[in-house]
Amino acid sequence: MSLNHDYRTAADEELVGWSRLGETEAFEELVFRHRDKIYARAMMMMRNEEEALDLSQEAWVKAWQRLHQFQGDSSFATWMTRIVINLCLDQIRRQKKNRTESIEQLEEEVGGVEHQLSIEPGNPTEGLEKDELRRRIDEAMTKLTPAHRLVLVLHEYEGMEYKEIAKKVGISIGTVMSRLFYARRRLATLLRGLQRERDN
Amino acid sequence: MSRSMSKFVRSEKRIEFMKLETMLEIQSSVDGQLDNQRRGAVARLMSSDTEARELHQQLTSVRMALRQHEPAIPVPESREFYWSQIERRLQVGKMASVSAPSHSLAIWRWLAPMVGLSAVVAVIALQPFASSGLHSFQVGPGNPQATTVTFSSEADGVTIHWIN
Repeated sequence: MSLNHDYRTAADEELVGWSRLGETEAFEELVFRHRDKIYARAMMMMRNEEEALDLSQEAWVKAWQRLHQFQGDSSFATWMTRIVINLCLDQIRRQKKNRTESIEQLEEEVGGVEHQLSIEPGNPTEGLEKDELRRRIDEAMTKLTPAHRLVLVLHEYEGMEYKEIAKKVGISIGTVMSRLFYARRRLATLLRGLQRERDN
Repeated sequence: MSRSMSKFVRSEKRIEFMKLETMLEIQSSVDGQLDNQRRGAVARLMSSDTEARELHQQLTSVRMALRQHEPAIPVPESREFYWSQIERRLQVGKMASVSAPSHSLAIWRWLAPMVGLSAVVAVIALQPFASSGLHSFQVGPGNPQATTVTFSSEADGVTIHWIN
């Protein structure tokens, strides 16, 4: 159904309005504009390409079904990101039920040995080029457990406060803080290791 | 383990725990989630403790690096293929919603015969009053999708309205 609208130049809000009227071309344009961000968020949380693709597509289907709920209080991209995050959280919960946490993971939950490591002075990201840093952050993120990565993503990329994360994930504020702390220390250690590798 | 040794271990653990607590306070200060009083305490600690200062710096630099250098991970499929999969799911969803009766329709399927039966009973019960001219009434379906079938027998003095 096309009503001679110029989808490519239209604002997101206009596309949402046309999509609500059943114009799938308008919705396709929204998918095209934001698909990388939505997929990246799913990938960041799941670290599995197949799952990330499936969940990001499911998020778009959910969005289509719930377009009438989009009030425009936040941007369309933010609204979409929240949908994909909720789907990822549901998936992580389902996986957690079927998985026994390893001793290593349990140690990490309570802070593990990371907080006992000596603090090396200096910036662990210093001297790294932007693209290289991006790549290395991505690489380091894969080495975190899903629980730690989840808290880090919600805090750093979604800008959620401790209380909000605790509510969303269903853990205490103290656990949010310790997981975040562990994840950051681990990232600092990994980035510093990568920095040393490069220097040698 | 001797008594004094056990006391020592307990005290070590306490020191470790307190230290983690302090580290989490420093982290909260990096994230701007401390009240004024605690912020002041952390600031005083950092001015006198090198380790606290270095931890603050490390956490800040990791936070900045993450926020400013979010990894870009593009969809590993072409636009057309990615959209075609979404479109297919939308079609499946539409077909499912067409084939599955909605909640309100499902309820109406139960209610319709009941309403019809009630209407028939009401018509029969009130017929003597209607024929005697005491009362006139009209039974109308509440649902615009409902259909009515009327049976009338002057010989028996009965009119039956069946509402579907």
